Amino acid sequence: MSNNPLLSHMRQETVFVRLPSKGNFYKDPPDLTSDGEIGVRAMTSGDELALKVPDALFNSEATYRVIRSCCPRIKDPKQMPYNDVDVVLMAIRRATYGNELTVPIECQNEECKHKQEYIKEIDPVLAQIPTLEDQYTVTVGDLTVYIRPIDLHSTTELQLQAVEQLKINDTLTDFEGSQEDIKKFQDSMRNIADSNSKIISRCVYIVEMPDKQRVEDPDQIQEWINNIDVITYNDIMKKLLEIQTVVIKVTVEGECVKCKEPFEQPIIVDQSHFFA
Amino acid sequence: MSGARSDYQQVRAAQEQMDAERKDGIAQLMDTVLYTNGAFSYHDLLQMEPLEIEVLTDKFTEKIERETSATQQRAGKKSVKL
Repeated sequence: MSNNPLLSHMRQETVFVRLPSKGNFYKDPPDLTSDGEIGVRAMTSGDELALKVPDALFNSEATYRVIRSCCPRIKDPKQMPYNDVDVVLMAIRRATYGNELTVPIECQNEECKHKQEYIKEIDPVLAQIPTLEDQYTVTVGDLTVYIRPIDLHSTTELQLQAVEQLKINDTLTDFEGSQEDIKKFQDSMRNIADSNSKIISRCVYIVEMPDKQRVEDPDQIQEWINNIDVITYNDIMKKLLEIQTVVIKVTVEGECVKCKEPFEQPIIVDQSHFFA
Repeated sequence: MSGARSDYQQVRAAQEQMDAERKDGIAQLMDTVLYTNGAFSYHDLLQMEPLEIEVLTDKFTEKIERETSATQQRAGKKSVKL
């Protein structure tokens, strides 16, 4: 990027943040600055409009587009560890609309229910980014499994899987035992199982055997994942979910101006509402 | 009303709200094209940041006010700001 003669004619990076992953766990590592940060540019009007397309939000195409546009140092947004996504989106928000984030809050006191807007400053949040360890391993019997955090691509798949789960619930509600019902149910279950297996395979990048021989071939790892027992699967999943908790936690705290009821509301960095 | 139906209606309402917001966004850009007398195309504006469009709109408003005031002065009228 820095060799491009058109650089001075491009949008400028105006916000620099540290990534929780420190640039680790990407297949194509991001182009970090000399002090290990990533530069972020403001959204264009075109990006803003892309975030108003429901289907593009649902399948994450809008998120990929915005990250590609505002953070070209990240070569493939699909590979981003999910822990980095919220930080980058928050930085894009900061670069586009400034330091203040308006948060609508409704008082939790049943008799009050007063609605008010509160201001949350973004800079202090971006100054306290939690960091991931450089390497995560899970010991499974005599194997050492090296895992990376769940990426944005897998997170999208999990979201689609949640919809599949709803379809299963609907099938069960109207279940009459017909062949068609049974097939629908089986198809949905198979889709979820396949998707889970793919997600875990993407997270495992090395399996080390007792003799220190390492298996790094994705196809061989996928085959191994397809044939592991439930306990191994759960051990890996547990570690992945533990890594998933290392994210920026943004909350608005205060008390209701009307009834003085204290509140603490987390802000969900949800792409579908965050930029609105 | 079943839970599924209620969920469906919530999703539908959110989609409609988003569609309306997108339409508003497009309308604002089209307004900018019109009020700048086509100096910037819709595609130019799609590449700009919201802050740049805000500055552009302010500058064009100032320009139009100055031009209006100059035209009125030439015609012997005095423009007074209330």
